[in-house]
Amino acid sequence: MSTLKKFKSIDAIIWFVIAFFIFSLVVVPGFANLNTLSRFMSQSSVLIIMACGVHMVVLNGGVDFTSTALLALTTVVGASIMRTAGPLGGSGFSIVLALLAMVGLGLLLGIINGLSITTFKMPSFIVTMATQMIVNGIAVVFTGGASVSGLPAAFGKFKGGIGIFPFILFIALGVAIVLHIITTKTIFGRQLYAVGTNHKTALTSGISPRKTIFKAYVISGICAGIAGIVELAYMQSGSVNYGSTMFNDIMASIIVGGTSPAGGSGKIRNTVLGALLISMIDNSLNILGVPYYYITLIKGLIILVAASIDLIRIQKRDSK
Amino acid sequence: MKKKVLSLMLVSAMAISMLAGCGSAASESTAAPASTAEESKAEESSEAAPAEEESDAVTVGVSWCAIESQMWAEYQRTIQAECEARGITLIESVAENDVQKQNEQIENFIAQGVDAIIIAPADGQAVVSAIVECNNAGIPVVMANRAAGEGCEVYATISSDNKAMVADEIEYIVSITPEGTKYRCLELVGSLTDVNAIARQEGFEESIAKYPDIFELVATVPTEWSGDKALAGVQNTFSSDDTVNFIFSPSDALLPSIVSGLQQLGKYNKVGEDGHVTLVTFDGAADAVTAIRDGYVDCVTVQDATVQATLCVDAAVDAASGKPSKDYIDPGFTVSSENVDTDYADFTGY
Amino acid sequence: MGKDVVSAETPSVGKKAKALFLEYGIYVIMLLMILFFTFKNSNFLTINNILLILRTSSVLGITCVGMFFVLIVAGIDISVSMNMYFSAVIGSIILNNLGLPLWLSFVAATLSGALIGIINGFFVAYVKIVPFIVTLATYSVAKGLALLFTDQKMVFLDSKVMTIANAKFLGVSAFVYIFLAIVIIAHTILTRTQFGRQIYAVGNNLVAANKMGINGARTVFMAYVICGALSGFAGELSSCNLGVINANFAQGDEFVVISSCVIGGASLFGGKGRVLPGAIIGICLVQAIINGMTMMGASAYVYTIFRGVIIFIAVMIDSIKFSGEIR
Repeated sequence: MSTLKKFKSIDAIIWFVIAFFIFSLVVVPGFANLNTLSRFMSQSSVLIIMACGVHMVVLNGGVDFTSTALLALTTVVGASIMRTAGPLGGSGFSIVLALLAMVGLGLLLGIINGLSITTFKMPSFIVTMATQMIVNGIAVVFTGGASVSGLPAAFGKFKGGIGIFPFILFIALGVAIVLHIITTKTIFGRQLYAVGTNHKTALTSGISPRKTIFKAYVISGICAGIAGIVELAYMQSGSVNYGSTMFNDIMASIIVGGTSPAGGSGKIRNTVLGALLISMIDNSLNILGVPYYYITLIKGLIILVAASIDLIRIQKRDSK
Repeated sequence: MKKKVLSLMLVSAMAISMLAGCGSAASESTAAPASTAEESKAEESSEAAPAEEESDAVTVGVSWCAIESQMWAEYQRTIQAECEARGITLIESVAENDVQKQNEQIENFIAQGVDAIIIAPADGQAVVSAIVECNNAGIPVVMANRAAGEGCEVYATISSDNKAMVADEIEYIVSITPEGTKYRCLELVGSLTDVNAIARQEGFEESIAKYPDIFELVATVPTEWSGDKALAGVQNTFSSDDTVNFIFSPSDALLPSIVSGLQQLGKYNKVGEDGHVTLVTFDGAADAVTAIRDGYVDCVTVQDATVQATLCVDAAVDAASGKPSKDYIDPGFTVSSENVDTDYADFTGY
Repeated sequence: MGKDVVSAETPSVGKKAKALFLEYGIYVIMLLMILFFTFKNSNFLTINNILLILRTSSVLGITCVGMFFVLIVAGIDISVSMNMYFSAVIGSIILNNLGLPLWLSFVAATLSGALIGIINGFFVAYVKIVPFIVTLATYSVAKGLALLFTDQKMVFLDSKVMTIANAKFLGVSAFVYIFLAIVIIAHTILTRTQFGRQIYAVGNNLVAANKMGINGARTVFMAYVICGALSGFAGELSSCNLGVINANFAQGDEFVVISSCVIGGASLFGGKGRVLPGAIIGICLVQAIINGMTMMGASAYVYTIFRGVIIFIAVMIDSIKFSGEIR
């Protein structure tokens, strides 16, 4: 391919991200600072993991509301297990157990969602909404509403990094890379895109939509569990409040990244960039003194614009 | 074709970014008057921030959990007024009770290089990690209205003791209750994820447990700080048990809905009248104080937001100039039908 | 999925029973619930309490009626809650700031709700973006605007609103009459007008409906406008009920409304749902749960879990009947 063609085929989201990054460096005070950038990378890590998990589900045209509630539940359960005043005295074993429990919870909820949607044919919208309520309720009952802290110092090291790059960013990128490989290089990945595009044709190709969709929800659940680990590392405490407003940002990241909410297309890489962009917009506008509700409004508009652009692009591509 | 689409996207990207960035200027003209002060100070501070020690003006960042009640509105007003009077450059951010957002906003203050940070945390424990970042950056932190959890260094804490304040109210009620009266109580709970709401709930339940002959807890209704659920809670409780005669509200923000519910049931009667439902509330909003004056509400315990806010600004200035610190616990005061026209005749509430 | 295929032999008793259960399952759950709550507190099944549940359900019930239209055309509208908030704020500006009469603020609120509905309808029906995304975006926009107009503070309404909140005819609150009237009107539109038939046709199969000559896009568009207008009206009604508009007004209500509609028989896949009695049953069931839990003195902590579980079970029963694609 000639350089010009390569240039044209780069997804738009990359331009968005670069443009906004430059804009922020120039206009936003304090942004062009290594510490700030490091903190920014930490802050985006949770969103990246969550968005990638939900991305898998959106590829099928579905949605997963439970992931935000899982953030709350996994952090409080994990923190309760590993805290120094807890049952295992904050030992290394308790940390490992806590991490396993967190991922395990995500796995469990993923299975519950997956079964409900594939075996009982419940609409993903309502099911994940109901499980979100239940999971949130359990989290509140578990802690009595308080947050859980007093984590062992060993876990505190998770918050560090190499140079300005925080450890949790590596975890986030790791998850993204794994999911990227799954979606692009495995049979399952191809099946997921096929099922998302058209159930019937997928069936005739011998793919089982049920199994494929089930796995997608399980992955989403596991990602939420991992996101919980990262959240816990970053905040060094578990709270039932985490994730309460994150759903908007997750969907925005996915849509802005060019994934079609009807399913069938969308790259993990673009969702990661979408998450970075949304994070950047949040931070920069916040530093510039734009009030919280204004930022909410702007993100809403961005979703609308991004989705419209995406449609135009698909129509133009299909009409060729 | 693709080139056209690509350039269309680039243009939109630029447009959105510029719109958003200029949003801080645009919102100056379109936002309600109360926030213009905040906006212009944000603009000043973005110029002042790089200068740091060189400028005379001290820059203070204030991180609010939310401005959801009249008490918080007063808190914010006082801080803004104090800063303006002393020539302090003020940057504010509101986290809408989102602990993650609040942490991010505090870290943004660090990026902007403020001299001191005042934090009104949504959750004192969850905000610890952000405070640690402030410690590492050498920026002193003042806690407003709620204490921080363990594991961080805080310059000063100006707080209310929610439990003690509620206990105070109960003691007052007990002191004026004629012998033999029994209170069948409806307890409204704020949000189960709000540490203040939980403190008030615990305060209430522990205080009335001391007087089992007088108080009986009939119902505990979660309201998630929503007037809608408070109203439903009041109506449902009376439908369940018509003999309820005591309502504890964890905030005056719920009071209008409670009053509406009582009015619809015909149970909104004055103190001393037959069928009066004893109303005990929290915060000290203007409508609550007026209702006490008019004789409908029995008592409200008030967080002295004005005093607290002033002390916060004092502490922030002292911290920035390296003076020693002082903690302060606001004991609050109880305004009741007894003293509203005597000790607190000048008090109008927030 | 051979279970749904009509076979030549008579279905066994077991299959018949199962079919019955699935068809009326929701009523079975309701019955069980009523029995449970009445057992816990005999005051649950009194006329007063039933009227109270109806009254508490009225506001969101009106929103549910609007949502039915959208669900039947296989759409969804997440923005209803912030629509209610925004419209209530507009209504309050008319009432408080401009000092105009109460009925005018209702008109203003309904119109502002319709405006949001128009935006939703336009992007869903004509630009053809997935409804979930469109309404998610308008949710944020409406919320941002409402917070902007109120400066994130509480808005106290003029005491004129108390006249509506306290109004009663024959001992029953005006709210209930308004709700029932809207349900009956909507039912009439959906079952006896051509527009109503078009709504069901479009919901069942948009392509086929277009081929039959129905303007599918316009039908979908109108559904969203109706939903928006009713949400705006409901928002204003709610604010009159509370006397105040808090910054968290109607927060989370979109979930309650959608699940109530699904419980009431609407399907997220479109083409199904009877407003009468669906819109009434769905929302009353959900509100009855809260009412019942308060009556039995349940711990504050179990409300959300219990509600989530009931919704889960109700939707599961509804979905077992469905034999189409997984969504």
